[in-house]
Order: sequence, then structure tokens, then C-alpha cells
Amino acid sequence: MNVIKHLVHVFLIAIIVQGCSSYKYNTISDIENIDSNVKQDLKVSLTSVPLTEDIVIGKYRDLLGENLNIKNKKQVLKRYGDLLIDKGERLIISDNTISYQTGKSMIIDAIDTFKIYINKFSSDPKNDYIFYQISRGYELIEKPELAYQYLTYLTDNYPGSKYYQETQFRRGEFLFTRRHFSNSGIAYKSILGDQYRHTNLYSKTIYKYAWVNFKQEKYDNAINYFIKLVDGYYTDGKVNDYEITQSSTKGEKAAVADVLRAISLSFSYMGGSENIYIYTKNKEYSPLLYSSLALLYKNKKRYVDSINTYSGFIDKNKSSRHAYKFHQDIISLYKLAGINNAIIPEKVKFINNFGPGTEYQKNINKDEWDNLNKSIENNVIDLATYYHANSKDKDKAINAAKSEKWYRYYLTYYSDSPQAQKLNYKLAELLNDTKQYVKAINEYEKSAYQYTNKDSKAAYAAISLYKKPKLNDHRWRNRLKNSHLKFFNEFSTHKYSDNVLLNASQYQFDDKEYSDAFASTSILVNKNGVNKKVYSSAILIYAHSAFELEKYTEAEAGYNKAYAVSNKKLKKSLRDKAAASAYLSAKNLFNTNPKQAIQELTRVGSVYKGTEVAATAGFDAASLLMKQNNNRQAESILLGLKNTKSKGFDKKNLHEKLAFIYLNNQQYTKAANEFVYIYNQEKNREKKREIMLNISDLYKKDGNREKALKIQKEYVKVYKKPLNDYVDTMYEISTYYKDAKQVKNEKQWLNKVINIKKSYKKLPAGVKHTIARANLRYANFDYKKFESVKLKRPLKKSLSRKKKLMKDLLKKYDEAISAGEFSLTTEATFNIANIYYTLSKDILNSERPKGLNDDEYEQYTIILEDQAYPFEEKAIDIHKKNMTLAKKGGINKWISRSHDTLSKLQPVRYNKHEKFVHYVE
Amino acid sequence: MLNRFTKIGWLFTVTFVILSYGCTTSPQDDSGVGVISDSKERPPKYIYAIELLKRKQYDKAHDVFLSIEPNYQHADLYANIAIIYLNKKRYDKAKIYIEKSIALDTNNYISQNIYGVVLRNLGSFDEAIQAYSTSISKNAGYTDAYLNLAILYDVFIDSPKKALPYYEKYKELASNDKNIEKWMVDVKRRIK
Repeated sequence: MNVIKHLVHVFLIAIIVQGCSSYKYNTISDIENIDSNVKQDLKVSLTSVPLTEDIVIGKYRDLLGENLNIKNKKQVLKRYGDLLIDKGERLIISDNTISYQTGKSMIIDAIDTFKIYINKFSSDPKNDYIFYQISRGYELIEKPELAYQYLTYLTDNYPGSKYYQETQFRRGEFLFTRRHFSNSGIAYKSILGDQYRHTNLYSKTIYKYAWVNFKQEKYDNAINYFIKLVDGYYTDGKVNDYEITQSSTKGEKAAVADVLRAISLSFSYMGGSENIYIYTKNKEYSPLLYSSLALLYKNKKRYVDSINTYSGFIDKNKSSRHAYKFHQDIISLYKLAGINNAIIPEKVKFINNFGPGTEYQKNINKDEWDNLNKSIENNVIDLATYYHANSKDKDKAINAAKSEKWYRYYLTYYSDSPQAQKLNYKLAELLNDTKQYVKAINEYEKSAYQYTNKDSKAAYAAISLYKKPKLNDHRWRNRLKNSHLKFFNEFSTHKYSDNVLLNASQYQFDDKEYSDAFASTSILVNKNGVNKKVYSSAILIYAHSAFELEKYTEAEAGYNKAYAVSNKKLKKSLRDKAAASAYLSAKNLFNTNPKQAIQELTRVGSVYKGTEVAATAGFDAASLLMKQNNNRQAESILLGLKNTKSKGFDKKNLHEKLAFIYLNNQQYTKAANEFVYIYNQEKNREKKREIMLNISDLYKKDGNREKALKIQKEYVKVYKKPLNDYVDTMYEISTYYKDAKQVKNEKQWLNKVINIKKSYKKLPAGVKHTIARANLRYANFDYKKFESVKLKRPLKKSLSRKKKLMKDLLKKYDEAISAGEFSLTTEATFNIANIYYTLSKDILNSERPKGLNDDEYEQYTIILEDQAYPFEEKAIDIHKKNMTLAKKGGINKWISRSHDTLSKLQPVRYNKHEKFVHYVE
Repeated sequence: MLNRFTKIGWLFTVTFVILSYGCTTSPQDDSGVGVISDSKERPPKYIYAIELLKRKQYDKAHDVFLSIEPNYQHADLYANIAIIYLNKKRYDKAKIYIEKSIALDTNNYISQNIYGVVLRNLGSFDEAIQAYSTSISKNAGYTDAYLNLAILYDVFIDSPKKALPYYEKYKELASNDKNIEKWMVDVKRRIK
């Protein structure tokens, strides 16, 4: 039974060992996989008997008491030690205190087991494993010094061991933690040969070795080794040229970050960023290192160093696609550091280096440009608003100019941005604040109209500003008006739109653009809901414009509407204007439709009674009526106007018209009365003189000789010249007295006429004629005297007297003839003929001497006949001569009388009469 | 057919001329020498006016003629008004109306003769000669025009030589005028 039992144990061990032999405990990490080994053991066991790990350990412990051969003994010892250390390690790392103690005991057992093994098999060349496990055990039970001794023993005695790299690494770690950096460095460096390059520990070793150098302030070395790590990260894709990649694990990210931090620290200890270039000039990931260092500084609040680091990169890598980011960081750092005065210049620099249109833009891809461009846009806004905010302080002009510059920069490159309109408006406000009104208006209008959404606020601001530049040239005025009209068209529902259109119409009217003003105000006056104040003004401009455009019907209606809504002060002038419109409307019809014109004028006179225009209209209506020969109605209107105080027409003209009407109606006295008014109004002496003559003529024509005489006497007092009229008027006066049979007065005035020649050496022909006429008439008085002288005894005496009178008479008649006027000549000739005929008759009828007998009487009579006959012949000849004058001037009264006389004296020759029918049935 | 009508027209004209001739050569006294102008019907007022004219009621006749003038603008009406003014020695007015008459009937030798008398009284001797000559040209048998032309030359222009042929023609056409012989003797004496 025992034999069988023993064989079973052997078989089992063989199986276990066999099974274990296939395990590979080559590394510390492999050792940690004890569970799988145990399970394998258990699995094997399960093929026969269900086993636990403790059962297996127990079985091995039992086997140690068996008498085994050396080979098996080595196997069992080694396996037993491995199982204990694996189990012990698991228990220790659990948080359970009991388990920890149990685990620690088991590890101590394991160390003891391995020491037994060493003692028994000291020459075994594979004992490096045993020493490795012992050091492992000591580490687990926290006896690092003992562990370090066994590790050092291993490295000293087994340099070719497969555990060499790990052992040295662990030694390095042991020394490193105890700050034995030099020795630690030796341990690490021993495993940095090329044969380890592809091992898992290689990068860790570099990492630790770099740190060792760092700790020893051998930063140069440290950086070199850290950079080797970064080279690897870059190759593996754990980092790119600028940052740790997102695809790395959290641990990887932490490790990389640690390396980068170490590098940064190294550079910082070496004096900053200046050295980075030396170490990384050929490295594509140099931005990563700069950034890392800058961040390090930033975290340490060494903002200036951080800024310098970024600047260092930018200075050497202006075209780098990361340069702008670093610049952004610089700006952020200035903010963080509170160095505010550097922010603005830096932003300017940033925009100048990387903004639109720079070379930089060409060197980066679209995505990055979009990113950068957004930043530029924000910075431009910052600059514009910063300078704008400071445009009211000192240096305001400079700041305002800068602000304007950046606003314009923005509007140049970001005109499609959603913020463009808002910034455009701000630019306008800046320009307005700095009194650059024209530019401000330009920008307000751009803000108002050049963007998708029209902005009434900006448009109204522009309008409000137009008067400030104090420009009055034509182009500016047109802009002003167009701006108002555009506002109204775009923002017709704006609360001030009506006011704006009203203002536009006012400008149009002021500029004499009456059609436009009329059109604008037509909208307002016909629109519902226009407020009263606007309406009042609009209707006034409407009416004025219509008036100027000669749309008098509209003008009149407009003025009447304005009248209805106006205050008392304006009402009178508006009524006057309405009346004027109506009047002018009527006036337009004067030539084309005078009848309608009269109707309209009459309406004006009636509707607008009391206005100046009403009187004018009445006057014009009368004038038109006169043109249509409707003098009766015209007279009635004119008489109605005669006593008005209106200045709407020329009063003098009214009297002239009345005079004309009266002249036409042959109402000469009335006409003369009107001329009296005209005379009194007339200032021109010559015209007054003519009017006065006219007045006297009119009175005379109407048979009002007394009035005519009065005027004529006044005339000759006032107007001595022209001589013609003066003399003629005196002659007229003499005629009046002739007709009035006031011989004395007649002679007196005839004498005045005749005596004119004494005052003048040379007289005009007309005056000569008048004097001749006066002479003739005066001669007629003498003629009567001549006739009255009868030839009585003594004949010689009476004849002599008569001849003397005759001689004087002939002289006067000859003077009359010498004037050369037909009527005077014929009259004088006729009278001369009559003188001779009268003398002839007087001789024949003369008183006979007393005492003549019949014969003597007859003889005496024959003698007388002989004496008288030549005078009769002479009379006949002169009458004949008078008849011949008819050839020159026709037949007048005196020629007819000569003809009548001849008909009696020589009937055969002259008593002949024409024949003509006495009627035509 | 046309010839027949022309003949009828000619007969009518001859008859009319004979009748007219009879009237214009009526006695020289002032009993009322007149002329029947044509066969047209006159307005009753016209006839009445003629009656007034015959009675030398010139003013009344004048007013009646003028009252119908707006609706009866006839050469004879104007000639009658001219005669009224001629008798009243209002030669200027007479001239206006006789010219109206001539304007409406240019072939009226009676109006032309009246025109000549009016012009002579106005002293327009050359125009009077023209008017008388026109009257004669319109009616070569109208004796008044010859006589008037002779008197114009004889009395007013003192040209007996020019007057004589017209006296002779007048005498030839109006042989019953007793004065004409004496006048012709006087004229011939003066020519010598």
C-alpha cells in the first residue's frame, strides 16, 4: 500500500513538475501570474482528484519530507518556493491584515526554501533565478536592503542572466529612491545598450536614467535622454508636433506629460527657452516642447518667461502653423499677468502677422485658417472697441483714428459676419462722437441699408446728422433729401417716418423742387393716421408747392385745408394765399376761356371777400367784362371797388377803366370826373398836363362849358408850355366867350392869343395858325364896324373913314391868309370879297348930295355906279378865287358861301346843281 | 334751253332799264325823284321809310331805315340813308353809307352817281370824276352822271373845255332840259 501510495505521489509530482516545467517564470511580471499556474496545477490534479492551491502547496511540503532524488528534490524545492511566493504575494497585496501576515509567513517560507536550495545546489548555473526569487521575496516583505543585496549578487555573478536587465533596473530604482543617483545612474546605464533597445524596460530605463541626470543637475544629459523618449512618442503617435494625442491612454498621457514636464524643467533650469532651439532645431515636434515649457512657466506663474518662450518659438518659426496659437497664448498670458498695456499692442501684432491677406494665410490649411480667422476677427473687434472706448479720453483723436482703422479693417474682411452691421453702426457712432459727421453719415447709412436686415435706428441717426456738417452744396443737399426719402420708403412704419418725409418735402421746397415737394406731401396729406402736427406742415408745403407749380386748383384746396387746421395767427395769410391761388387759376383762363375766367374771378371776389386778392379779382373781372364789351357789368363792379381801401389793384387804373367806359358810353362828364382823380394821382407833370386838357375837352363835349372853362383857365395858369396847347387853350376860352356872347371877354382872350407873337421871335406853325384864327375873329369885330359905317355926306369924309377901316381889315385878313391854313384862308378870302362887295353896295347906296334934281340925281347915280362896279367885279373875282381853293382843300362853309354868292351874282355860270335820285324804292 | 333762258333774262333787263330810265329823268323840281330798284319784296318799314323820305322827313326816315338795317342790309337801304345825309349836307356820313351801298352792289350806277355828288361836296374832285365815270360806264344812258360831271368841270374845276362834251352828251340824252342851252353858250364863250 505504501509503495502504491508512494508511486502515486511520485507520479503526481512528476505530473506537477512536468506541468510546472512548462511555466515560464522569466520575469517579475510572470511571477505575478501565479494564479494561472495554480490553476494549471489544479487542472492537472482534477484529472484525478479535486485539488486546491493550499492542497498543492501542502502536497509539495509533504514531498519535501520524502526521500527524493536530487533532480526531483531540486524540482520540488523550486516549485514549492515559487508556489509560496506567488500565494504569499497575492495575500500581501490584499487589504486584509490576516491575509497579509499569512502571506508574509508564506514568503518567508519561500525565501527559506530558496536559501535551502542555494545551499544544496550552489553550483547550479541557473541559480540566478533563485537569487532573483529571493530578492523578490524580500521586496514583498518590505526588506529592500536584503532584496538589493541578492540583486547585486545576481548582477555581479550572473552578468549574462536573463534577469540581468530587470535586476539592474530594480537596483537603479532602489538606489534612485534612496537618492543614490550616481549609482542608480550606473545601474540604469548598464542596461541602455543596443541589446535592450527593443525590450519593454528600455524606455523606462531611459526615462529613469534621464531623471537620474536631471537629479544630478546634468540637464544637458537629462534633456538628451528625455528627447529620446519623445522621439519614440512621436514615432508611436503618442504625441504630434504640438500636443499629446487624444488616442493615447490615460497612463500614456500621464507618462508623456511627465517626460515633457521633465524636459521643460530641464530647459527652465538651463535658462529658459533659448536652449530649446539648440536641442530641437531639427525636431518636427519642437512646438510641443516650447508649448510644454511655456505651460510650465505659466503654471508657476512665470508669465513673462512663458511669454518669452512662445515668442522665442515665433521668432524662429514665423511661418509655423502653430505660431498663431502661440501668439494667442501670449495675449492670454498678458491678460493673466495683468500686463494690460501690452495686450493691445500684442493684438495689433497678432493681426498684422496672421491676419487676412498676410503670407501666413497662404501657409496654413483651411481648417486652421478658419480657426485663426475667427480669432483675428475677435481681436479686431477688441481693438476697435478698445480704442473706441478710449476715444473720449486723452489722446482721443489718436485713439479714435485707431478705432476707426480697426472698424474699417473689420468691415473690409468680415463684412459678411453677423456682427458686421453692429460694428458698422459703432463705427458710425465713433465718427459721430468725434464730429466727423460726413463719414459718420456714410457709415450710418451703410449700417442702415447695406445689410440683409435694414436698420431703422442707423438710418434715422444718419438723417439726424445731415445738418451738422454745414454743407450746402447741391450734391450734399441731394444726398440729404434722398436719405430722407429712402428712410421713408424703407421704414414706412417707423414712428418718425412721416416726420422724415415731411422734412424731405421741406428741403425739396426750399430747393425749389416743387414737383418733388408736391409729390412728397401728397403722400402725407392723403395718408391715414398722420399726426396733426405733421399734417399741418405737410398740407402747407403741399399748397405752397402746388402754387409754385401753378396747380392753382390744388393750391387753393391745400390752403383751405391748411386754414382749417392752422392757428389763428396764420389763418389770415392762408386765406389770402387760397384767394391768390383761386385768382391765378382764374387768370389762366383769361385768354382761353374768358367767360369762365369771369365766373371764377367773381367766385374769388365772393368767397374771399375782404382779401386784397378779392379786390384784384373783381378788378380783373371788370377788365375782362370790358374786353367783352360788357361795360355795364364792368362799371357796376368797378364802382363797387371804387371806395375800397384794398391795395389789390391799381386805383388809378380803376379810374382809367371807368373813364374808358364812360367815354364809350359818351358820358363825358363822368369820364372827366374820373380823369380828375387820375390827374390828382398822376405825378408826371407832362401827363398831368395832357390829362387836364383831356378833362376840359370832355366837359366841353358834354356841353358842360363852364366846367371846361374853369379847367382851361386853370390850365393856362399852370402850363405855359408847350406853346401850341397854351395858345390853343386861350383860343378855346375866347371861343367860349364868343358862344356866350361875352364880347369883351372874347376880345380879351383873343388879344392874349394875338399878343403871343410879341413875346416870341419865331413861332411854331400851329401857334401861327391859332394866332391867325384869333386875328380873323378879331377882324370880324372890325368888319361889323366897317359895315356899320355908312357913306353919308360929306361922302369924301365918310368914304375916307370907311376906306381906312377897309384897309385895316384887309391887312388883318391878309395876315390870316398868310398863316396858310385852308379854313382860315377861305374864310378870310370870303370876307375880303364881301368887304369889296359891301363897299360897292355902300357906294351905290351912299347919301346923295342935297338939292339934286332928277337928272343930276341920275347922273350922280351913274357916277356912283361907275365907282362901285369895279368893287363888285373885285368881289366876284375874289369869290371865284375862293372857289378855286376847293381843289386844294375841298369844299367848306366859306367856299360854299362864295359859291352861293356867285350863284346870285352870275347865275348862268354858277347857279347849277347836280342831279341825283331823292330815294330808291 | 339755255338760250331760251338767256333771252328771257335779256328781255327782263331791258324792261328794267326802261323803267329805271323813266324814274331818273323825272322833273327837276323837288317833288321827289326816285327809283324802283328791283322786284324784290321790301320790308313794310322800308316802304314806310321811303314814304317819309318822299315827304322830306329825313330824320324820321333815317330812324326807320336804321331800325331795319340789322335785318335788312341792302344796297338800296344804304343808298337811301346816304341820300338823307346828302340832303342834310352831312357829307361825311353820306360818304360812309353810299360806300356801304356800293360795296353791296358794285354795278349800281345810281349809287355811283350819289357817291360822285358826295365826293364833290367834300372837295374830292378827282374821286368824284371817277365815281361819275363809273356810273356812266355801268349805264351809258344815265343822264344825271353826264350832267354832274359837266357841272364839276364847269363850276368847280373851272375847265369849260372838259365840261362841254358832257353837257353835249347830256343834252343829247335829256333834250328837254331848258337850261342846258344857256349853260352851253356860256361854256363855249369861256372856251373862246
